[in-house]
Amino acid sequence: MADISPHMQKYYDRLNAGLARAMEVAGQARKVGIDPETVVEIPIANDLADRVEAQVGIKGVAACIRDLESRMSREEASLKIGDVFATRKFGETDNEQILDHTIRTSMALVTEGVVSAPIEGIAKVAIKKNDDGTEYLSIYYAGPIRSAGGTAQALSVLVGDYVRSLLGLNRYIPRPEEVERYVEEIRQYNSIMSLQYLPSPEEIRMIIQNCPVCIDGEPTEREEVSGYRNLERVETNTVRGGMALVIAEGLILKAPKVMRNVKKMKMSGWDWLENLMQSTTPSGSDHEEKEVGIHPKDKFLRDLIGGRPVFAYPMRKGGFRLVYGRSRNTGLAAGGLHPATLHILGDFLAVGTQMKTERPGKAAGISPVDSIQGPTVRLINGDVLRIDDAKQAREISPQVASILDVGEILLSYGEFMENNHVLVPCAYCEAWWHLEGGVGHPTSEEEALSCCEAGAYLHPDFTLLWDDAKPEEIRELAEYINKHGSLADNTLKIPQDHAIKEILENILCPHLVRDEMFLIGPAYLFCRCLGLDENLSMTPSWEGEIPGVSLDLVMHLSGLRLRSKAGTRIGGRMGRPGKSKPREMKPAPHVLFPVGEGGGSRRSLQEAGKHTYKANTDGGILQLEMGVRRCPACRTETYLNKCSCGAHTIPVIACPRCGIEVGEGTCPQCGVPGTCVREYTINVKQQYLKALENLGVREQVGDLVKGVKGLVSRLKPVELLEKGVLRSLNELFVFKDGTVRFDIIDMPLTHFRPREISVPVERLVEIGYTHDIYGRELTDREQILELPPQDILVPEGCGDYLLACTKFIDQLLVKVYGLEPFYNCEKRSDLIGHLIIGLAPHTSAGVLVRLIGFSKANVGYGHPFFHAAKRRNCFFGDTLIEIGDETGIHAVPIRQFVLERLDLSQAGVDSIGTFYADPTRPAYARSIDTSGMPHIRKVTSISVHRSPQNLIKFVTARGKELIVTPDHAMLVWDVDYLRKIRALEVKVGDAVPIWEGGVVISDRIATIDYVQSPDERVYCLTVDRDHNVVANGIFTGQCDGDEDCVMLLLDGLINFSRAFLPETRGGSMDAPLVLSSRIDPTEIDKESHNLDVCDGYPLEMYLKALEYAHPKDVEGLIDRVEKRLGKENQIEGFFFTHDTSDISAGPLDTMYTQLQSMVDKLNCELELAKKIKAVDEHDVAERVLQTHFIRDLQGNLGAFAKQKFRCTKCNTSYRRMPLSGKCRCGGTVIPTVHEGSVKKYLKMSQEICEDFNISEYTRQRVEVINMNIESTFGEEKIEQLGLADFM
Amino acid sequence: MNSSAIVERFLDCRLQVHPDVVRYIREQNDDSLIERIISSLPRDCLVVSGRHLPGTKPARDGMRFLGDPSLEVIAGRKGTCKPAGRVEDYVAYFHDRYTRLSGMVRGRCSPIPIEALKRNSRYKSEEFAITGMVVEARSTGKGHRLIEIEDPTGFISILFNKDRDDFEEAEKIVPDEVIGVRGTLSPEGSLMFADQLFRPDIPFTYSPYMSDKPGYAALISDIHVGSDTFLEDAWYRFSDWLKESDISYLLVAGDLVDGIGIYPGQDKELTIPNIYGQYEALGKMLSQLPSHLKIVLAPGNHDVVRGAEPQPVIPEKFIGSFPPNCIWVENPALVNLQGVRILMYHGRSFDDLIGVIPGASYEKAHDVIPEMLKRRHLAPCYGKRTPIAADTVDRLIIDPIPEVVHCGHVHITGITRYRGVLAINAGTWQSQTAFQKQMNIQPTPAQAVILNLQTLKPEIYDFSEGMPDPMIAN
Repeated sequence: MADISPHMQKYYDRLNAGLARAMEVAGQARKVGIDPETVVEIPIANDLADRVEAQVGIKGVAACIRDLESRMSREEASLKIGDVFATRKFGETDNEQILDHTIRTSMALVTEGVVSAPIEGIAKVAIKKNDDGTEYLSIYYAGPIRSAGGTAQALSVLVGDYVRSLLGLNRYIPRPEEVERYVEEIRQYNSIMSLQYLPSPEEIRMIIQNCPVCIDGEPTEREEVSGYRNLERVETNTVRGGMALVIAEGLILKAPKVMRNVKKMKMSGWDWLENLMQSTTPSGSDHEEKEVGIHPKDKFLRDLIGGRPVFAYPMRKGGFRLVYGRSRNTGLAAGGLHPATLHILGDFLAVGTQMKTERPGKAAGISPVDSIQGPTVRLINGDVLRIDDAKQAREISPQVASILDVGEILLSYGEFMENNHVLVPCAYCEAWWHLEGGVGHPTSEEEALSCCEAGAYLHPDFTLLWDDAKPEEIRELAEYINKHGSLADNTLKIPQDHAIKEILENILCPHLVRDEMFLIGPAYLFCRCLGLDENLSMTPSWEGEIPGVSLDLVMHLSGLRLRSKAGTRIGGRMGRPGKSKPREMKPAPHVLFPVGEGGGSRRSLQEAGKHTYKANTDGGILQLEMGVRRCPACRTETYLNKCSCGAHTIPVIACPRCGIEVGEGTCPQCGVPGTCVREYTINVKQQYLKALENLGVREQVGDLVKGVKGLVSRLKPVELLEKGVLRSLNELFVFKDGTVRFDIIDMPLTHFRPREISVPVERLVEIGYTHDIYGRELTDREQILELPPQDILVPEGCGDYLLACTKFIDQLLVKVYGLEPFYNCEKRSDLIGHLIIGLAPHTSAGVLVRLIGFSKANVGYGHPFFHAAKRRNCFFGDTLIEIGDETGIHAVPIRQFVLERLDLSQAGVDSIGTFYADPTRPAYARSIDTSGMPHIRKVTSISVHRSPQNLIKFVTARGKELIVTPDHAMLVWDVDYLRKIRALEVKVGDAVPIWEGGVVISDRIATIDYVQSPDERVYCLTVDRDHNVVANGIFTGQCDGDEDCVMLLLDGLINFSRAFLPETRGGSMDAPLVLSSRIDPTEIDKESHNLDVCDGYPLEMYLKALEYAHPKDVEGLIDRVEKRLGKENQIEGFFFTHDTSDISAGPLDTMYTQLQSMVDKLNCELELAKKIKAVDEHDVAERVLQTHFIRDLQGNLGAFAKQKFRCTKCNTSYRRMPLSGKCRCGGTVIPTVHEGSVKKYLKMSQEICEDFNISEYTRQRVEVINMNIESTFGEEKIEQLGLADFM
Repeated sequence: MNSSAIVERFLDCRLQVHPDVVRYIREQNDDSLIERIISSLPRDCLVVSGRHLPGTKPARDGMRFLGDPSLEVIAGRKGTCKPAGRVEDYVAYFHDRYTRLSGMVRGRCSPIPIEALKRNSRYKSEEFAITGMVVEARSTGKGHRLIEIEDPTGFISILFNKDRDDFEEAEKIVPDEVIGVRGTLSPEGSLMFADQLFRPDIPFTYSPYMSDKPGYAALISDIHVGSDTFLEDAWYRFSDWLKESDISYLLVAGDLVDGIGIYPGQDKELTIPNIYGQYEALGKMLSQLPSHLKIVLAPGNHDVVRGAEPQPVIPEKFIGSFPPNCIWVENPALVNLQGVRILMYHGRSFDDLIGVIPGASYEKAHDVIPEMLKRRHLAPCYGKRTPIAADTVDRLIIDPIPEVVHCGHVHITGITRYRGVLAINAGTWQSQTAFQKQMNIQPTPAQAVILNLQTLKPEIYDFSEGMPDPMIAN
């Protein structure tokens, strides 16, 4: 652990003390026994060893691991751990158990305790008999072994062998037919799933004949082998995917690694591996020749969506001008724009809204930074002015006729480093000016001139964009002014002229239009730059040979030194709008208590209380499936967590067939896993009224208390109804794990002013903010304070929600648990200093943070490290994706694909520790549009993310398996189209599109499981247009979304229970299975290491940027986190280059969400496109047509003729109309795709075709679609009005 | 009685037996039938085939009224397709499919309504049969096949044991086909154990009609005019060859042009990016063919009409440049050439069936046509890749039985025969596209299948490299 300053030590002590206090209260509450467990279920994890122990569930292993790891490499440790198990140190009873424990633990260790492979990937370990009577080890691999990655797969075999020899088992001696079975089966598996590498039959034979361990597997595919069937020692005829993976992708591909370990451990019997190694050397990646300079990239424009405007075309005049720097609220994939820009651009960009950018990365979150230049606009009256004030921008925006320039964009050096993008020349800025002799900040022309005379360049504020005008135009302008202009009071007056105005607008020269005259002032420098003297005569500098480059010309004419104010233009368009809102399941429950169908569509307890299942019975008596629990004291069986006698009950797990109680294992007689379900007849009404009575609240009409339809967890425990009533009273909803959460968008923040977070200075001093960044004592609201890594600001709305949550917790503690209230918060500001848990999507490890204030903007501002510490999502590394390249389409594991194609030297890192980059070679993936049409789409970028601890595994009815992070976007069939939902929202039975046999078909999710992530990394790719990809045969979304959520610490500690989580794998995704109490910068995503923390850049960087140098060339000169790692200042003493006056300036909500209909959004978008000079509105219109509307129309038209049906009464979905035309429940079955939804964009598309310059091809497409719609639905009936109608 | 017992009984008498005969005996469910067949066999018989069955005479489906003109569109004439979309249409559509297809099975298995199983306990003890439309088909954990079927009265799940007869066929059960099943009920009455599977199928007694006059038809598909991979040279070789031949009919089973906006980025692969221009070019190409040649043109998924099947004919405004000897039909269409009935269907449903029928592949898409014939339906699976426009009648049912089924779509030529019905999958006039390259599909471009209407013998002529030999009229 790095050194730590006393100040930070104090900070951590505070956090830990707060945590300890909360743990104590939670522990007391849990002891009351009304929760599924009597102890707090979120362990506080510190390191890998803890994670492994938590994962494999063997107590004490962590200590062993720590011991081993201190002495040897991780891989060695993973083998050596076998010695420990062989001594039966952890109570293993037989050899099989020793082997089982060793293999799983070592795998968990190699995979860093985050992927599911150690648990799910190994089905079982068995000791079987060779033909000579000796015993051998057989490892049964299952599908999830995929997630472990080749190395871990191979090492698992090695560790198996290691322990096998320790235990004195013989090697596996295969029978000839078994060897051939492997040959046949692996080839067949390859045809189903496409292995990364298909071994030749000889290679397979060599492995099987030599490998001392029998690599067996569970059936994973639907197909069976045809040749070597019904072998005595091979239990299944079905293809065993796990086995194939371990052999082909583990042992063969990772042979060098295995060999290395074999040598290190001096193991015998693996020499044959050497022979394998030649055949599998990967091909080197080819590097493209790079030329100096950059070219416009229009990639960010490709999948234009109606209503998300384009702000600037790639490298076009008027686009965003790059300025290097990092403000307090930028960095880590967040860029700064002037708040005035945000307003002028139609309020589409709010704080935190994502903007897709041309470079350096593909997207940037937007933060307001007012120390850079704002936009330049032309008003209706012809005036041209730059707007550097947000208020003015708001007032003036109705009068804006044209946006000549969208202003500057602030991007940090770290962004270029992270994205491995060459440095590009930036717009001349004051920081640069200072580095080249500039002193102070000139406010008048005279001051600027005197600076110039002192040897500096012309100050950027006085520099026009001369390089945007051609030399001829500069001459034309000069001559025109010479001829027609007049100068008075340093104001230049020239008569109106169209061509001249264009030139003035090109160089962004502010001017007024009054009485048909252009007024420019102060005009001295302007005239001087044009080579005009005080009398507006052409100076002698115009004579003779003049430079052919505009900027040189101006320097020549003026005799001043100038630098380009245009710099590099960067294109951008609006990305996905983010949202901060309470997390609600749909329908949103207040309590995890089943109400079945009786609760009606709102699942309310009140409704359930009225429900009668038979005529003439009392209401509220329901048959509900709940878990069986038994009181250890009085042996009463109940579904409640606390017996009426007061003791905590324990779940009873019994065999579903014979009823024997089996505990955790399977039934000894029937061989099936035990279950814990019973149908109880419950008087819900009575229970509900009792809960109200216990709480002393009166039943409130209208305030529904909503439960869930049924329980999905394995043990099916219920929450106390009281909790639901209290949540309902406080208007809170419960998430599936028993916690209350609020989703927020992440934005980085390293410093803040007390003023911005609406917290009094005194309160901040109380919680430890004693000094500002300059070491002065904190006394003023304007002082700048540094944010420690584990402090966050939440949006005000979130504050209110959390406040309600504290009330709920306090009421709960007092009325239900009989304890003292904990929070005692009256108003929002009372929350300051309280601890909460931050959880990133697709993760299962929460991060402990402290709430220190509120942001007006609807984003969560947190330290970049905090964002980076929350692990992210995506696919399991072994997920097979179909990738097409020059050699055809192959299914390859995403890990291999990403690692092969990821040019690490070019990779970027975003705010959450994700590496991403464009693929080194073009690649295509199969994806599907919203209507279910498959397409081959380009892979636009690939990424590596930190893996969350748990992933969700889906198995479909057709046996397809997919493991993704919990927030991964999954595609499910909605009525007529594919909807993206988060993986954790996917339910069993949801229809997902799959790719089978070359066609898209629909499949159902059969099981959902939460698995521990077997790999430290997860991988993803971005696919053009459709943003989804076939992974393991299932179409799923690519990774997107960086919404995080927060919950109150005590809520998590008291109310969270693993027992509530869905039984299905992946159920534990997105649940705080473990809480990291401290962020270690060395352990978080490398991305955050590229954060620059300096207060300015050296001149070399600016100059190198002019040469398009690589950021690495100046790496040593710039203070970044990476350089501080391991030192005391790795977590404090950060600086920024640009300040901003308010982190919540600019629009607080994006216009995109304020506009309701697509028509409005589109009109706004096109209106803006017409105004912005850097945008081609015709091209925007065509792109929207092509990538959004036509796709939608075509998709829905196709979907219409493949549509599903649903019952109006019970909402059952039917793949096709039942023959009877009625639902099984007797309800009416209706189509799900309607004419209206198909035609939704037709009229708009036709109008766009008329109003814009759309290509003939696209026009015809709209025409053909219109024809097809008519032929499908019949021609539009135009009401013919007869004479009779008028009489 | 199971298949192996039947086969063994024949083997005992040193007789080989055709699987159709085994099926028939099982369907009849009459053990004495074997003895009757054996006793009536001619002495020199080695293989017992369909014609040895008592009381079965070759028969053909439907009457033939021949006259002039020698080409007649029986089904799929212009204007048959109707707009769809009402709820009642969907009910009617599937009801029509069920009624007509189950009618084809009914005679062989005497089914009872599914509802009766719940009402009447006697079925718990005895064997019975039902017909129904498949709702869902899946494999169980142990590898058996679990099928849910419905008839208008109810639903039932049926288990096909993997160790029983007919399992191979049961594995090929696809959603929404209509089947008959004979079997027994499980003790609790919720599950049926299948013993035998009945499909509408082509009667094995079916014998195709052959023209009594000489006549030849050229069967092609997927011209894809307008695409940059359209093989113009090969087409003109074919065109020249046609002029020299005795061929009187040219049938094109869809994808006349490459279309626009069919797949993303298509504009980059088009030489004629104008949809009107594409048809105009084709019209000019066809105008160069002899005017006595009757050209039947059906649409495919690349054509300008709606994708939902049945697809209407190409609209008037696109066909201005076509010669008058063109006959425009819908997809599917049944065309009578001198009494020989050719069912033209573009073949979109290959995409579905290849995915769900074990063993089916794009390379051997023609082998999927027999699967359509067995099910007597061109596109049995609803809701997958093939869009289907609901109408009050199901026009995708194969009824009457044609002599020839002519498909395209997959760009690979293939011919097979099933119970007397000739199944022809015509290739394409487009070389390998970028997409096919990615998919590793090797098309067989520039081939025409020439069908002798008198013998129903097909022959493939290849125009890809050079001019093939002239056709020898026999």
